[in-house]
Amino acid sequence: MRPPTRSEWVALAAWAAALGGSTVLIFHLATAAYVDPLTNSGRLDQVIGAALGVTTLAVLTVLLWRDDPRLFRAESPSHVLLKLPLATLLLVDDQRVVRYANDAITPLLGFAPAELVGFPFDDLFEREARAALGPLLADPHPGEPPRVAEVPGHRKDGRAVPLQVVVQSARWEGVSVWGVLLQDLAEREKLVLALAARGAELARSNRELEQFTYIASHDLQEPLRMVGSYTQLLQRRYGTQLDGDANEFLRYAQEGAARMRDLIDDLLAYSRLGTRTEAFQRVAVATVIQRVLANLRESIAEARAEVTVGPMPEVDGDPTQLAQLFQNLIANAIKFRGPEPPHVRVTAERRGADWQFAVADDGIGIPPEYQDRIFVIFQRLHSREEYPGTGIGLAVVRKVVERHGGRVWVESSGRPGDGTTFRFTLPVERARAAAAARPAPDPRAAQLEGRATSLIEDRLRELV
Amino acid sequence: MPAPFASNPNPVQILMAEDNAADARLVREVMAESKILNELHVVPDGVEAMAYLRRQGKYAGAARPSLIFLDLNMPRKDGRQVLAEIKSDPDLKRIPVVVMTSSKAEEDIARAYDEHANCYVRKPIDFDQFHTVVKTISQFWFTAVELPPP
Repeated sequence: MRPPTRSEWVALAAWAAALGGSTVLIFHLATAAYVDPLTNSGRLDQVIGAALGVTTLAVLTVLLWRDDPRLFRAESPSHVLLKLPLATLLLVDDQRVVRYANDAITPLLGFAPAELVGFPFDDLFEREARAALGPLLADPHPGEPPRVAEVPGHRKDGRAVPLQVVVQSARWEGVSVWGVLLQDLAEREKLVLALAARGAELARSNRELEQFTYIASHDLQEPLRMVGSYTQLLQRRYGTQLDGDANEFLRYAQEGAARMRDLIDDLLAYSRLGTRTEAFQRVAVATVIQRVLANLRESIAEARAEVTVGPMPEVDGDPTQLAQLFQNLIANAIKFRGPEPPHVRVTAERRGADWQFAVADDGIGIPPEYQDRIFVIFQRLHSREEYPGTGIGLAVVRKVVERHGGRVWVESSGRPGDGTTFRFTLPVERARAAAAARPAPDPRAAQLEGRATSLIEDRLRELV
Repeated sequence: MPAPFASNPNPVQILMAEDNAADARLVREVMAESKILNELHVVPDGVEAMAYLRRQGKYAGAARPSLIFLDLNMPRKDGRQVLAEIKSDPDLKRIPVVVMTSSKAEEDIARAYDEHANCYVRKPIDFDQFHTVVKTISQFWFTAVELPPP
């Protein structure tokens, strides 16, 4: 990764502003990370992951100040990806003079960013404590983990602020600088507990919803069976005595029942994605896909579809759910085809700590204005006569991908023939992905994270 | 016991334990259309089912069924308990039991087979399907296979 040029930083800020966020600074503390401002915002998560190499709790560079649920997913009850507010970032040169400060410096210390350019860094801290800064900003070694210290600072108005200071060497505009992240320790503690509580709440509410969905769907089956079976019996036994209209009415009733049964079946399966889970195991994706293609044999033959599969890796996952994931995507690629027999390509490539999979077709495409809707449960873009289905396939895809620690997104121009490409990531190694997000040795952070974790576990135990 | 062909006038005895009258009626309708001569007895819960099988009280003269349709979810005593009791009773355990239920849940299926159900069938919402299922079951048990001696 090369550091961004100045114009790229400017473009980045403009892009972030357009997203409705505050100033976004993507900062991988060793070199600055490069993020293509034209990419969809899904890429932001990838860089957030890189920035988490600092400490989970003291993260300091996740800076989208809007409620993006993708920043707040719970992979497992105790692994809540915390959404933290704008972190205070300074760039300090080797003379210990501040060369850049972001907007967050204002609520933290009361300075406007411009006031700090040219300001001696040490002056932000209590006189007696300044000796601690020495070892923090000395002898840069690129690639080393960040240095952390707690140093009491003070605001512009003199009020004391207990600060955590995280320092790492970086390069900016061709010059060697220190990236300094500041956080108010008192605020952080409050924040962590508040977010942990929220995480626990969300996890609990998710579980309740899943249970409710399961129960509701299950109980709906029986009366549905009554409607379906008896309208059919009616038709069988009295059909010849009924006129055309009456038979048509009965047909509509039965079609309704059949459709409802499909919806209920899908709802039930969807509701169980989170609850009924096998433990994750090492899975050969190639084997999963072979099984899926066998399941889809008839549709493939009927559509005269050509499905090519590139080399596939091994991942940690639930083989049944991964099969569902691939099956839904490949089945869709075949279903939403144009007049010609469809071509479907399934590929995988390594991107950092993830495998990025793609299922690409040359079918009817998805217009950009609908692309945010398609992952919502039961959302469909076509009538049932045009293309069959309940509209749950992509909701399942998203849920499975997220359960496995990945993200899914769609690329399509919307022009027929250009087709659609669904991409999703799965971590190369789940254990490694979790470790990457774990904090650098910081006992206070570990303690807080421990408290947050047990809070969440307690709430969940109430449910079981 | 030989299957009842045209030469054998004795109807096959079937017990159905089902609390839902509408579901019971559906099975009755299907069995009524069957070419295999049969008598279907319906009991509404597990307690009645065991009383019938043991020929207790009002069921003193009950015929021994050659096949049992068993619903899992019934009041008073549910199908799982009935299944366990039947299969642990040396006098009753040979009678084939077809568990019929709306549940597709794998754990229910697994448990039913663990408890020695002879087979497990899901009640479909579609009468034609239901008809085929019940017809297939009765053909299977009464025509295709040898039933256990009483």
